[in-house]
Amino acid sequence: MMTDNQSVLGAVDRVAKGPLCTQDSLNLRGNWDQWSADWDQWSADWDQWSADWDQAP
Amino acid sequence: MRPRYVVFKPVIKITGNYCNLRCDYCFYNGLDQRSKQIIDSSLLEKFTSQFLEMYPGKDVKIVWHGGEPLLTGIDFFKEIVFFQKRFVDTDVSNLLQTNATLINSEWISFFKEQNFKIGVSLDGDQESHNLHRKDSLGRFTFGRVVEKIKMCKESGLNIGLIQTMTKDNMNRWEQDWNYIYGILNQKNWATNVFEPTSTFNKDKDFGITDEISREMYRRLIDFWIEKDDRNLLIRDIDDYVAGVIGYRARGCSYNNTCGNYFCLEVDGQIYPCDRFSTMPEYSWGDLNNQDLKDILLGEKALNFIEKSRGVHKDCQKCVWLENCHNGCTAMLDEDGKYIYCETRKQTFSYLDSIIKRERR
Repeated sequence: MMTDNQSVLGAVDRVAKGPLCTQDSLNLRGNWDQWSADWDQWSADWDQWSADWDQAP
Repeated sequence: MRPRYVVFKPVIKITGNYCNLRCDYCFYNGLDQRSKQIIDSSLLEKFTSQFLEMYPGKDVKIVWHGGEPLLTGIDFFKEIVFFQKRFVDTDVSNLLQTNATLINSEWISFFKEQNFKIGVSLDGDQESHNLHRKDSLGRFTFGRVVEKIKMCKESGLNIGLIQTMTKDNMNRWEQDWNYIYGILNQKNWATNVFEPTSTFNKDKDFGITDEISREMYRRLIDFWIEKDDRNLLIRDIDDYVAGVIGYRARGCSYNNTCGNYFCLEVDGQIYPCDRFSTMPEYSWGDLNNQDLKDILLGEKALNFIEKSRGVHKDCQKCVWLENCHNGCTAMLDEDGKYIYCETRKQTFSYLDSIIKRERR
């Protein structure tokens, strides 16, 4: 059951609009080809997330 | 192949170290903050065109910093926006960090019209703010800053606050947070801790050690939980929550994106971050005689980014590795370990236990 603390719920809502934290950045360290491809995707995610973030109260 | 365009959020020190305040914890305290410095207009035009040409069809963010950026005067910023609007394919979001003392109705109208996002430095209530934030004549600044914050709010200009925490006011942190939240009715702010180890800070005795930092975050989380307010956004806490529930934090010191920022100094030098801008050995190049893309994709930049992606050997066995990545590159000890390592571990664990407890 999810907490009913509103401070926690608000933060969870905000951060859950962003990308999941995966092992990518650890596994890809030293593998720049894959890292670059990942970066392009993540930048797109980030742009969307930032736009959402800016709408936050 | 190495990463392309790993840098996308510039911090422009448009006035260098030039400032009308003399905050004693500032990176630039002790340097020349009195001499007027404003970035050369033609250099800024070169930067704007070369930066925006790298991102056709994208949204980019540019952070305006100083010193005090409003010392340029409003016409300079009108020129900046004019440069930017030539690039119709790129949407630019401008963010500006100010001490607020120079804000007036003209600035507010401009910020609203051009959709600038404004961050104001305020350390807490009168007693805490005036401890370290005095002007060039040694006068307190709290009254002027709060007046301008209220002016912004009454004019419908939403602002964020950045609060710098020091050891000096640790016995009254809750009073400061209650002032910001309860009296100013500000629900969105960030906390910076004044770190005690870097070259410019180590002689000052009000730095927050790892041990004090742990206590600070514990008390801040308790404050945040007690308010029980969905709209209360304290930036660092959101970053910790992201880590606890498995999402990527937003802050560069959490999410392994050191180097996504870069700093353009007033003299044209490019640094990895404004925290490094007083250290010439960290310069990536000089925009006066190099192209921006060559600097950002040059060996110095890529070597820095590659190195910053590394972690300390102790991180490999840490359960919070993917949520912390050894913290801020500018805050490593001599062994290369984040100076607030224990703070990170204990704060993640503390918040984790609270969320799990609340879930029962």
